[in-house]
Amino acid sequence: MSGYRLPAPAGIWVERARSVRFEFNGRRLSGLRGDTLASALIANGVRLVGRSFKLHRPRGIWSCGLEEPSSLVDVGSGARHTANVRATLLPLYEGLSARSVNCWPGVGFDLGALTGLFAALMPAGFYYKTFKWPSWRWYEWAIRRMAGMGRAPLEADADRYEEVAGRADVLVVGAGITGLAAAVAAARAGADTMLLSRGERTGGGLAWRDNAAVRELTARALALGVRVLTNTVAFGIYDHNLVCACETLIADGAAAPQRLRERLWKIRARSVIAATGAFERPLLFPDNDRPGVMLAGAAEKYARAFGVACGRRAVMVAGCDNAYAVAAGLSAAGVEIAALIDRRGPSQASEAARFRVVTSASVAGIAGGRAVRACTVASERGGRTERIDCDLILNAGGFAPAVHLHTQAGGRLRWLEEGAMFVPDGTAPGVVSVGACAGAFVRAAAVSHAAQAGEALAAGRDAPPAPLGGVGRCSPAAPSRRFRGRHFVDLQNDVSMGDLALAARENYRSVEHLKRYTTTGMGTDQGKTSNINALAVLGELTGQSPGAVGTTRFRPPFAPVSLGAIAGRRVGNLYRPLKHLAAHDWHAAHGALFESFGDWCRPAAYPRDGESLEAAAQREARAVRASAGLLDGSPLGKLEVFGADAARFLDLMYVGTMSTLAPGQARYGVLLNENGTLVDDGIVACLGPGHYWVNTTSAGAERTTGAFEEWLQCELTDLEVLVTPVTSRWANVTVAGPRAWEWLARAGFDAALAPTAMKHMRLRDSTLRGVPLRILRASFSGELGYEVNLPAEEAAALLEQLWSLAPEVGGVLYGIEALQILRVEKGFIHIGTDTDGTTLPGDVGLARGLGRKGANFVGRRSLDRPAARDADRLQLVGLTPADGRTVLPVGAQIAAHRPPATAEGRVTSSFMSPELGFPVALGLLTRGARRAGELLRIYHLGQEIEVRVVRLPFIDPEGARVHG
Amino acid sequence: MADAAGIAVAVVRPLHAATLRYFEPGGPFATAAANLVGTPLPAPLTALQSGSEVILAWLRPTETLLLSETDAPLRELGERLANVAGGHLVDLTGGVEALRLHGARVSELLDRLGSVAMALPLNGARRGRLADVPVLALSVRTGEVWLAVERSYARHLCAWIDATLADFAPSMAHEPILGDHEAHG
Repeated sequence: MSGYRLPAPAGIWVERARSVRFEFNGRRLSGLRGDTLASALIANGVRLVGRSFKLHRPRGIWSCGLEEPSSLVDVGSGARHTANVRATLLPLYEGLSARSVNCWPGVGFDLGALTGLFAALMPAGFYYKTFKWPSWRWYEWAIRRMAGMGRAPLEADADRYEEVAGRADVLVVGAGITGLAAAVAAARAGADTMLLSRGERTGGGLAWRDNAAVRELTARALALGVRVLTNTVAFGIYDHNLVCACETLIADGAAAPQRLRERLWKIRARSVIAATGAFERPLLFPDNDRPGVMLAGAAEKYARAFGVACGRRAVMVAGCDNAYAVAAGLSAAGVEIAALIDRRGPSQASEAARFRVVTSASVAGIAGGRAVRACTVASERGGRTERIDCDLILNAGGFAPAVHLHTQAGGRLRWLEEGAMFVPDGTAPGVVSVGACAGAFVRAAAVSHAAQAGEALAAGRDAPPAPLGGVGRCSPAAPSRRFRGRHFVDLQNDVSMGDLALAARENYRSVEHLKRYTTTGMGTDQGKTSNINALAVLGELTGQSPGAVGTTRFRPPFAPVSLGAIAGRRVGNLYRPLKHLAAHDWHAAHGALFESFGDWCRPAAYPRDGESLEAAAQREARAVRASAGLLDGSPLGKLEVFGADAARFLDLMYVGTMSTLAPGQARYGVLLNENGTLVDDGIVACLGPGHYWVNTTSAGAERTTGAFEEWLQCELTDLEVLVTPVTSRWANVTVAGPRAWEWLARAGFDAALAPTAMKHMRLRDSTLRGVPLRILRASFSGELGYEVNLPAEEAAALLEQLWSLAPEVGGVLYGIEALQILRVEKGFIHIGTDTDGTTLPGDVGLARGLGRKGANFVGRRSLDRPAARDADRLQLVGLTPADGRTVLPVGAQIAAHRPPATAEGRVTSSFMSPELGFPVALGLLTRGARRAGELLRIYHLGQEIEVRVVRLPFIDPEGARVHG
Repeated sequence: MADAAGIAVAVVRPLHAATLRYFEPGGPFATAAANLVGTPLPAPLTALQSGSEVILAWLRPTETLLLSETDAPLRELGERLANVAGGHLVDLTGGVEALRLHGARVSELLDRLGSVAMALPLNGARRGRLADVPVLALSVRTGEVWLAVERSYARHLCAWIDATLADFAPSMAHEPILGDHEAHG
């Protein structure tokens, strides 16, 4: 081949004096500053750039923009490796290293191309039909190896991304001549206006024609205060005119550690003007995918903008008048036009052309596998064929308006027969289309309409209808005469006209079904140059007009968006918001190993030198049983409930009766939903008449608050009750163990809090050196326990004071892992871990006294349903391994025999018990309450373990330890 | 304290916080509270500052957040409202953190915290999702914005702002808002 650099003045975007070195598939090449990778490859004579997805056919550069289906490359390396970058969009930079994808060992000699030998056996949907016998799994590994294009990076992304909120009265998407006109008009009418340009420059298709009107409009827009974002692709429009756009700041693969790579814009606009232009629509002919076949408009852009000729001798295959102008332009730039093959009959344009024109003809074949050498031209009516030597075949079938934003916003489309294109049918809610994307191709009329639309939307008026037309009569995509060879409709997914015909024969007549069966339009290009042709061919095959066939739904994203841009700052410690303890730094200073538990970042344990998390948890749990431990329980949910009807309300909310609590008394409560299912548990304490303190689970604070508010606002509106969440206001320092009180006494706590003076499940307000305390005797460990609630800002000071006294009582710090061990030894459930969305109070032993409760409560009626009394319900049990040493895997299934088998239950919590010296576990088991003593088997990832069902709790069945 | 090109962010300490809840606008509790602070309670989506330097910010029709850098105003208010029917005051000190932002690029920073609707005028109060956590943004002084956030989420919000400020002035090292120890502990 054939591509070469044209002499100036061609190439207004490149700086001829500045050479840029780069690598492609290991070859060292050079281009010019201002080149894209694609233009530089063409200038270096590279034609074979990639391989197709299914058949590994050789592919070259097909377009000059984001519609590119073929020239995908992997760029960069290590943490800056980016897969499947379109060479047509990648700015050339010094040191760029790009590799072809989907080929091995190389793009020139690709073993995958052997699949082409069996192409006839691989029509659309062949894998659905063939890879099912004797089992899909026989083929799965190979299919998975072959699937996908490019290689995903193995290292974490080294670059930074951000998300920015934007607002505008009028947002104009597309900075071509009509977008500029609309933006200028809107801004002049006083609207706060934003303008998004896909490219580095404004002007769209005129930008590379050095158009004076574009320069003038751009200057006016800037002078009027229009905010112009370049290199910004609007990829989706969502409810209430929220437009998401991705701004590229640094090219893929390039290293710029001090700067952001991409910025995701979320722009809320009062009105949106879509000025997104149109894509060139190719014609179909045999072997139309060969390197050297490309969109005509792209070749013109390469010549004018980058100063690159895509070939020396070109044949133009035309279906529209625009092809003549493009051919003339290329001819003027020095590319020989061997012939223009017009599918249509003679016309004014064909008569006036200064190069050879063959009308009513089509390309019937192409010579050359990896590069075009010649083509065969045949009349559409039959007869003799003619061979024309050429190295470039330009394809100009017409245009497909970029109606994506319009349809994403809910707009409808209609088929315009003359231009063979879908255009917006009226406006979409909040979105007005102008210019080529509206089907308006007469420049003056389109610019005038765009200005009117901008002015109208700025003033809150409706925009006038778009002046349709201007491309003239375009021919259908498919030749009227059938030629031998594959006519590719979708180049990226290797979907041919034959595949569409097969789908139609197999009755995939809905366009949505056709798309999924053949995969047309499902590549990274989302069918920008193939969808309309696929619809037209389906229409022809099924005897319908393309308008009757309709289109598939255009969904975001309009163009690929990197995961980095979507994630923005949500990586590392910002991956998701975690709540932090008021005393977080104190715990860190004392060796805490933090983990996320629910929404909280909490100390899991406090490992000593060289100690594992598990060993630390065992040591801590053992020490709590032997002496005492100090836990930061601040995440426990805390609510204050006030009001004359507070007691009655809590009776309605909880299974337990709370209205009989005297001031200072506390009671365990279980919260159900309307289905009777457990959703939370906690402790309710009476602080005084009409004033209650409610502890929820750590994860259940918001859920419980929401449930309380919902019932109060929607159902129990006559109750006088006020609910205030105070979880962050109060910290909770828990001291547990037989020497817990001794520890608190040494710290100066009031003697009235001693176990002899204050019973279990009592709450007292107190002070310590002026700090208000709210102390609850309660226990989630089974040991004597004090939950000291205090203002959050005082938590670290109290922890420090108690910790300084720890040596005197043999006290330890313990984390959430030790707490889990302690509560499992006592058989205490953790809602959500030992329960699921079906668990009722009776399933976990919490139905005692339920029948005696006089007051109604949420979920009560559901407990009387037959399903609630089903004898086969899953019920809480204790489990121990028969061998006395295997810690049971959480989630392991209990079954009658090796899987596949019906599960009888599962292990829900499991730990080695430091107190007992053997593993203990909780589980849910069918009819579990009646199966104590049974030997069962559990299965987990091929492991089989014999377990014994035991009664709970594992320790201290009399509950004596809680009294110290 | 963090200071990047065109913007400074600091944690407001000490901060005293309380909330007036469950009152009827114009009812006896709201009237009593307004008389005590010397200003009408804020209208929807607004915030204001009383003569006693208490910031009052509208949260919802029946709730107003009170912030003060001194203890006395809120303590006295709590004592005087204790026996007024039709609402109640809950002390949230320690449960809320506030960041004070000022500088020419405050609105740019707000735009980068993730909410699409955070256009904040002077005397505005907007509750939204910033840095993926619920935040009340308010402005009662020209060029200054406060972000009130549940204390347990303050560390996350500060870390997000620190990361954003690093991109505002990449060549300029800045102190983390919470200080090295607090931010990375």
